[in-house]
Amino acid sequence: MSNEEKRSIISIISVSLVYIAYCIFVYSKYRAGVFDPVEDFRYWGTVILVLIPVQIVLNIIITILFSIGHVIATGEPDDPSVKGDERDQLIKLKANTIGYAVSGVGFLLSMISLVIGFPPFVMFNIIFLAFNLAEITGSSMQLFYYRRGF
Amino acid sequence: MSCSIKNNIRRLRFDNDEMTQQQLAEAVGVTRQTIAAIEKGKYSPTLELAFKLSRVFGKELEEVFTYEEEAK
Repeated sequence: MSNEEKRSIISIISVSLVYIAYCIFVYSKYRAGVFDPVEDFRYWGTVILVLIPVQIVLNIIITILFSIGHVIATGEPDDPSVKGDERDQLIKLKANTIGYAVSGVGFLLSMISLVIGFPPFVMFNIIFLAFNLAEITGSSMQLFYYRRGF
Repeated sequence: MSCSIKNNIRRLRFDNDEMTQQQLAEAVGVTRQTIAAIEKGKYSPTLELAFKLSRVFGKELEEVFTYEEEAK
């Protein structure tokens, strides 16, 4: 398994972990009856502003742990900043295209949820889900292209 | 999944002092995994890379890569 394939798997795991933690957090708030229709937008805006740096920090930590593990296991330095060759860039481009499509569909669905009368917290959660699914889909497609070719 | 462009890079490597995939990759500026994918037919190189690969072996492009029409 190449380094790029391992990074794709790690990305899937880290995004999934953050989203699961977020779901547990939201569900606990929902059970406690915290959602207020008046304060909804401020609350969800705050959640977004907190979630983004949390996800960034978690990704950095996992990437560092992966690099350390790679050096220990192989004795070779791992440089995630390396651009990759033409095949790596092409795979990334194709995977990102599919990921953008998923996030676009998710955004449309979130707007539809507003139109048909769901409360705002449904819209925000659909957007969160879409962005996380887009990231997972992109990483999964990278893995698929590396394994099966194109 | 396979592409319709075939190559004989693996044979050419062995004919050139048993060159390894890593050595060939370094000679043309790609990763070993890319060379492996090209040999297995899982990836079609760009024109630039195809020319570089041909030059490494001192062959013409058509001697290294062949294009075959896929049966429909």
